[in-house]
Amino acid sequence: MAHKYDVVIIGSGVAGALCAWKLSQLGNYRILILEAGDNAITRAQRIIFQNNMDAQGNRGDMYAPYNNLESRIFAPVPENAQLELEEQRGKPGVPPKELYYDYGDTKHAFKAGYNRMVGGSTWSWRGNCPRYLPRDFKLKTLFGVGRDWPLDYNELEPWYCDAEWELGVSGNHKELDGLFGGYRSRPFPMPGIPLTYSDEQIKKRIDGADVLGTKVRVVTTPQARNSTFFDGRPACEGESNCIPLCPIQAKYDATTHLRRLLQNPEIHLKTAAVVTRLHPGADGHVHDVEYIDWRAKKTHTVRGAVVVLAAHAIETPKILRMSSNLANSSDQVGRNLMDHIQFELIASFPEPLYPFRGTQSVTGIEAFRDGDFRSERSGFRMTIGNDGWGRTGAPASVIDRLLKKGTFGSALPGQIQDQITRMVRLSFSTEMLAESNNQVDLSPNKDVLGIPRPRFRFDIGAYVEAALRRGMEVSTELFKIMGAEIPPPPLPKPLDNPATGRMNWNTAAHIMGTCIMGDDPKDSVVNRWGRAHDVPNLWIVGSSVFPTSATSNPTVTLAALALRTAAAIDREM
Amino acid sequence: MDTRNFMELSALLTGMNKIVDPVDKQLNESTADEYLRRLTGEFPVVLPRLLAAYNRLASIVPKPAIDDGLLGKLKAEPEFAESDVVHVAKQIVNIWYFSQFNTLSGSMVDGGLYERGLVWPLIKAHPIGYSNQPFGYWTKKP
Repeated sequence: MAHKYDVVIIGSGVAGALCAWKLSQLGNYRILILEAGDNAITRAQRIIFQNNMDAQGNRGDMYAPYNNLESRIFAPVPENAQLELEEQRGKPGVPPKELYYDYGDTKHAFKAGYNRMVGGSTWSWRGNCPRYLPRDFKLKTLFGVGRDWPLDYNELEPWYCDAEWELGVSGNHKELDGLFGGYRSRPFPMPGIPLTYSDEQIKKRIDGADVLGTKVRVVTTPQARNSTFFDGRPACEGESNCIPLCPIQAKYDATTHLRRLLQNPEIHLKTAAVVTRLHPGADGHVHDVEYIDWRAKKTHTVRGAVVVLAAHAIETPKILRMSSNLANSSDQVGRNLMDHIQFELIASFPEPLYPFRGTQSVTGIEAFRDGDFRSERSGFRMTIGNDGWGRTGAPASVIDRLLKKGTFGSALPGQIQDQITRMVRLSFSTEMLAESNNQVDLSPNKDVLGIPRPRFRFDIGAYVEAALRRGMEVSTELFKIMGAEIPPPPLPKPLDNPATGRMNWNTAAHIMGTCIMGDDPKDSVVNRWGRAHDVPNLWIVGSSVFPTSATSNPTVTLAALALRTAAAIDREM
Repeated sequence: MDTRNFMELSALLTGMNKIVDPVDKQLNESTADEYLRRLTGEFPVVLPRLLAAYNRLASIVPKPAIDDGLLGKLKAEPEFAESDVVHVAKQIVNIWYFSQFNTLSGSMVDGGLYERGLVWPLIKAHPIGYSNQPFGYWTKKP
């Protein structure tokens, strides 16, 4: 049977969209993108999502705009994953929360979520685009922990430049060129987002300070957010709503590339298509991709000369496991699951900062990301928030607390104004190591289509826990230098939770690992180009191929790799 | 139900004179109508009891919009010893500041007029997600 398509790509998020886009620029390929979700990518769809948030009254919830999508029934998402393990699992007499995730013998919950929709998780990402540092690629060699990548910073650097242009990253070249040895061969396509009034006040107090032996610099975070009109999208208007939705698409999301792709008659997008199985032929190649069309309630099979898995780091290994354990002679599919484990400390600044004006975060502190300590504990990247107390307390929680104390009447407006305008947070994201015992596999419990739900075994590990403690010490010291007051318990949450015996960490929802790349087919799933060691025409793009998680938000790195993999596929076609 | 009384009680509880300010009256009356409708829908018994308690005390006309003395008297009324009544009083505050409120079981309900939340001008920010200002406005002190 002839191949109907040259390339079948599974997943329409940033990895799949960029891979398709690059291929479409390199050749006249017939490409089919299969997507489990079924939302539109129009301006009207964005307005509907925006209005949904009002109705649900919760702008911090990454799923709030998307709750009403019919696809949520057939392609469920882990909407309760951020809850503690006990709440997710349920207790005697207390049913578990409505679950997509399942747990076997695990120490920790896997708290990271993702979107299963056209455009993927970029609808609700923050947009931060820091690159990996050169030493992030050589963790095993330099520090004796984790793994090495099969490629290095030099090899990826030109692709980082391309990715920054595709995503539309604003940033200040001079601030970041040479960061821990990470040179930049090209400037960003746009200058950095200007600092908020809040950032300026904080910077005045801490920039250049010595914090527990490290000199601190407040740096503009490179972010896929327009600082000028760029790529047909407007400059940021400072909606303070980056997560869960940029109302004006000043922040990049994958619909940018999807809209462009769909102008090409050779490129098709099939939505409401949940892939269930890849069928290998006698030649060891995968040709047939089986999917359920949940609208038509039918199963279909489609053929492609090349198949690209771009379904993010949970659904991608699930599909391989459901395909008779395809591409898994290494036994590494689903293993080495990683997230950026983070925590935040909150305080009241000595004067009003006027948060919630501008993006949710403009600046960060890079100084703690690298150092010889990485043989013992992970580094961390710090974010300076412009969103009040972030996850610890929305503005509405201030009023809740005042009302609980019985504060009504003339005392309320002044206290609300005083407390909310002085809110500030520092958060720190740590690096998890790739460990084979941290894994996702198939649960015996099924979703509504009869597809196994993902089941997790997860332990953040002592390497991360030591870094979280250090992050708390650094944040506490930074607030001391600022003259900011950390409120008494229960705000902020303490790092250690005596009730569970575990730390109160948060997820950054940066899902990585599960199909990692390496030179040795015995202990990795794909090679340095993203091709499955075991299946010559199967390629994987996305953060599932990362062998280290580093301290960088993963998108610009996965974008660089997806472009590079597309070029490799083109060479092979 | 008397919107005017609801507005007076709202001003008393929230401490926001703006609710009954004659300049903003037209805008706030339509807002109050909607909030009263939504709160009454959720609290059909308790809200009228709270309003009745207020009406018993607040029969003198004219009276100051923000009157902590009157608020103290209201809090001393027998109804205010009931947790459900206090809950509804808190939700009157919530709906005016954030256009959302909580049911007795803790579920959040939309007030329908998110952008009109009184909190935004108070903290000198636009409603989150509804910037009406150009690129870079955030660099300046509001």
